[in-house]
Amino acid sequence: MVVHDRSYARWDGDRDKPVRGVWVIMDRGVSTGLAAIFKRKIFGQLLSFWAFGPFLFALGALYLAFYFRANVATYPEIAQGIEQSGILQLVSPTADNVWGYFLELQIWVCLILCVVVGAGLVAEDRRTNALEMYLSRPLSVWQYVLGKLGIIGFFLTLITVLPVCLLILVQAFLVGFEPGQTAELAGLFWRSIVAGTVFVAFLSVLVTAASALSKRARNASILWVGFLVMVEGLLRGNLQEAFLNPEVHLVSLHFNLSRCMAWILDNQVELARYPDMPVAWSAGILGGWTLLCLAVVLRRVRPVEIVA
Amino acid sequence: MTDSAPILELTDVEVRYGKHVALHDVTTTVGGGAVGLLGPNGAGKSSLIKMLLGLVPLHKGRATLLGRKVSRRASTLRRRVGYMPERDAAFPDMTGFQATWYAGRLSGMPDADARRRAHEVLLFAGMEEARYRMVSTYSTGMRQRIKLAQALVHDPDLLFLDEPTNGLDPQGRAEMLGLVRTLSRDKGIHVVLSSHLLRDVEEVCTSVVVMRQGTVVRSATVAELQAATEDACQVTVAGPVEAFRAACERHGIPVMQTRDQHLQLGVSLAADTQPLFRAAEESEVIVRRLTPVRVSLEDALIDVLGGR
Repeated sequence: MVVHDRSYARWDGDRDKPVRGVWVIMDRGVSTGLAAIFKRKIFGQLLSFWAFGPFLFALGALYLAFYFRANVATYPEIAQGIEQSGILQLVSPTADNVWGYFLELQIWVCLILCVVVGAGLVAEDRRTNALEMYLSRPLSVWQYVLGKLGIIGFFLTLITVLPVCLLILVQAFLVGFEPGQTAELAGLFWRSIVAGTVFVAFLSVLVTAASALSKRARNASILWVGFLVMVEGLLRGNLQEAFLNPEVHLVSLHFNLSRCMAWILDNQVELARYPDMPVAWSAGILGGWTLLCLAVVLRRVRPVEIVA
Repeated sequence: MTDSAPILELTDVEVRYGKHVALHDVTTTVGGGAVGLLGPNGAGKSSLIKMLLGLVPLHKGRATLLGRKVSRRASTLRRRVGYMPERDAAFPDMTGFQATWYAGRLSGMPDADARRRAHEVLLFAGMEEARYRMVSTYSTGMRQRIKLAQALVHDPDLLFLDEPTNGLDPQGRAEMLGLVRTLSRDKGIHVVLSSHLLRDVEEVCTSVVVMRQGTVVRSATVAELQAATEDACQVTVAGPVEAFRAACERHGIPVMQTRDQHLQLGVSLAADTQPLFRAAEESEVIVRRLTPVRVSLEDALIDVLGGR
């Protein structure tokens, strides 16, 4: 018979090591997020296919285009067909196409991920009174918030920044690190990281604020979708129709985000679409939204709820 | 108050929730061991604990806990303190083991240590059978135990227990108090137990801090508190009770209660008992039994709070 020692033993570990609260929260949150995505296996698989499909398609197309181009003598017709179809221009990472069509495809997955993973980030902790448990540990409010932002940020980075960076690296390998093109791709690589970080950070802050405003993940999801429909659809559409003024686009978060990212990526094609509208306006609007969302989160993330 | 080094020193402490003053003019020193925090609802017990944990700010005054100054950023201090909240609080979507392990990780424990300790404290709390079940499926008693395990996982030097027996059946209550007693008496962990159930405090604590309307009205050992009001005795007589009663009043001995041949007199046996025997002689009664009245903590508390 196994005899268990049920008495309490003291712990002799190191109590002075710094607490890596942000990483602990992120680590646990990512596992929980994956569990939420794959709670229904079919849904998880479909979402994964949707999230990584465009990347895998671009990767395959890029490789095949380069392969047939390199073996033009063996496959002259196919190589000519590829040149004429312009597929290489479409899938080769450039400032215009990588953060243009690729992001347009990915943004829907990002929004779904925000609902599945992001909506419950703070809301569920508020519902189960876990904030009191978190903040009675050696953890500051900021560490808690950064940990939560890190969870949704991780998933968004996984399906946006990471594939783009991989595509650029693959392109660099395929062109054989030619000095001129490598320098161009290196520039694009770093710009992509910065632009992607802006995109991921903004979306993360926005969805975390929506989550902090509610005590249930379901309500936060409704709030999140409702907010986007209102701002991106109704408000932008109606104002545009009423005023016929391009500056009306500034109410759209998507528009402002695209403008700022185009500026970071030095995407002149995108910037030239609205030459009279300074990027600083869009940056200011995004900054304002970010501050507002952070203020909401910090106001809601309290260990003690004070009822007036 | 006790001969050990103080674990808690408060000087002119004031805590506010907006305009509402929750604690004011709180000045006391609390020694080690098991300390009961007593007082009616709204007396400020929970507010005091939350202030000491840095969950609510100290508006005025000075507070030191385990020799360190209390502040909202006192994360070093929180590594040495465990907290079992009054409200039902749990990390969402976790099993009992995961929740306890996570609490350890958030307190700065390495992963392997947190896993080992989580098993140990769950065993100690009597949760070995249910540790792999989701916390959301636990009964009230199990939830109280899991909260205790989470508060203990990082092996604190001081444990704050806010109403730990809330919602427990008599057996569960006895077991919970047994665990707390073991921690305090055998394992050298200081315990601050906040409760409105006086028997809980009486069974576990060696000293008490009595609070009323946001301030400390008395701080003493349980024995001191009881002795202070132990100025009554029970007399059983044979003979004319009414005559004895009248004789007692003539000799200035207050008669508190009379039931058949038993009288409760307001005189301490430690003091001069000659007037009592003179009254017996005058009224021609035989004193058959004379015992000191054991004052319960409840009586003592009512006395301190000015209930009679």
